[in-house]
Amino acid sequence: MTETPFLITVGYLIVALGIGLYARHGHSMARLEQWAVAGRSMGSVTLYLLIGAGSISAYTFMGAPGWAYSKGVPVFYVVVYLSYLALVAWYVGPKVWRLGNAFGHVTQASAIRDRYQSAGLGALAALVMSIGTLSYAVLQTIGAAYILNVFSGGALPVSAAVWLVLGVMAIYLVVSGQRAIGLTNAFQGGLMLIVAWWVGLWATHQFTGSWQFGAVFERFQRERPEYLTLPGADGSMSFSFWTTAIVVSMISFMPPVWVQWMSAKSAGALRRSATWLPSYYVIILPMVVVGFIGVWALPELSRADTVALELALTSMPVWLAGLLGAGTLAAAMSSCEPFLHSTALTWANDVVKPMTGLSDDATARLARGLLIVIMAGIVAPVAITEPSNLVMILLVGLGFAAQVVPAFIGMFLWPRASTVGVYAGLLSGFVVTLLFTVIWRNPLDIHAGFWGLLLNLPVFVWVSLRTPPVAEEVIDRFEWAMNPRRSH
Amino acid sequence: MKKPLALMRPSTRGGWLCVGLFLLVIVSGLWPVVAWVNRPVLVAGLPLLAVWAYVIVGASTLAMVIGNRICGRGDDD
Repeated sequence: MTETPFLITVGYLIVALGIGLYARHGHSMARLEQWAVAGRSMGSVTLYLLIGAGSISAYTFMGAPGWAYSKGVPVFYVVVYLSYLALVAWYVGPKVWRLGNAFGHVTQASAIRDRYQSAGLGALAALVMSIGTLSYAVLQTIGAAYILNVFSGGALPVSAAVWLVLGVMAIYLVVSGQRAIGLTNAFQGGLMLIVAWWVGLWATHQFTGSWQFGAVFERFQRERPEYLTLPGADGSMSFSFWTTAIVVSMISFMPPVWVQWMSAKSAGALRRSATWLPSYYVIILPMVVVGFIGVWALPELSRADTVALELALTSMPVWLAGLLGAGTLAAAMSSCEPFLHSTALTWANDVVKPMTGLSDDATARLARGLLIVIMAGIVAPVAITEPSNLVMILLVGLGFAAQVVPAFIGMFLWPRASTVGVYAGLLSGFVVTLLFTVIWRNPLDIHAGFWGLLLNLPVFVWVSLRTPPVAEEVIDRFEWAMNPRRSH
Repeated sequence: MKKPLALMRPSTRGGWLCVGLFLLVIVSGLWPVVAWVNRPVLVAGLPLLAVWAYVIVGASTLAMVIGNRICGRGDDD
């Protein structure tokens, strides 16, 4: 193997570092609002690429082709739920932005703390959400390190690759905060879109002689039709799992997404970016086609999620393989950055600050310090050990994210929701999700987080109706901020 | 209690239309609707389920475009 793919991949890292450092230009990161939410300044195009690239992780370049390789069309549930996340962003995002703008919220947990007048609930939400966000960041780091390790022909050990990737991100995240995430994601988002289509079209032409994807699927229709319908080639994606996985994914309001929404320069900018966001997910189609091609080209593959990279390294021109490496690395980093940033931010702002009474400036300094601690003390060591149960931890984390839904129902839909009701629903739902993830996995082929919600929501309503609501002044204040035209 | 603490609902016909449109799009991607497109046939060279997923992409965008016109005014505060 030549060094060209590795050099292209490393070249991407250098460009990303330069862009991330440049993002600070003309802005002081001493202010919490600047480092956390870019001074609420992002326009709709930047937001489109920020949210789009942030939601397209290494999964798109590794996992999605892998799912196509092993299951077939079930992989398209990702396209559906990402489109629904855009609907959620359109509907809820402007309300979140108005709350942040009116009351100075910079994190999801600070909005929860304010709505329920409970520092404990805010801190609990921040800490337990961290299980999911950090697991996600570790998974992306492992993906990024894997790319560098493979493309260097093993010369760069996984441990060194982990430190290299985290080191690059640490430099520009500390220096430029959310502005770095916005600008690097815009670059990464554009790069990924071009690379995915280039690779997909090239692979289709190389293996079928046609530039049209239809040539790939006609053979499946004749010889392996089980790849073209649910439950898929391995029989694992039933209608019930398809449906509940989409619902749970759609209502899992992950903290970095709130930070992205609050970085908008106006509610309108956010709404415009959400409107066109589904169009970004055309990026998934060509990579899925690559996975389908792998079924015939690499029938003996031991790890399905390496299908695109294996295809690149064995049959693509070196420059295209290098671009795929850069695109995959961009996908991993663009998703990892927001999760690391939001975790450090919420630990400082929603756990330490309420206990110590730190000023906003001191909180910004603490968040930057915690970012280094989280990367060096948690993400790097865990990523280097490549734990086999990390996906399990991530599933529990995402299941928990769905259990916070009562807090949002109270914020956006039902003023009667009480603090005790949210605690009760959240904790009961979490226990069920944990049990149905670890002990009895997804009973009746229904997502564990969905089972959690089936207990969570009735408990939340029942307890809320039997405990005092939050002060009317708080509820009025929230309604005024979210719906200024209706309240005036 | 001075103020009812009932569910917050859309206050205009346009608001209800937006909610209805969004729910229609969401239902279109779930069972039982998805069972109707779960056939091993190709449309424009792609599996029907893949085409349906991208129909939902288009429908989501269209629902939001309509939403911007009927209930998204005044967002540039």
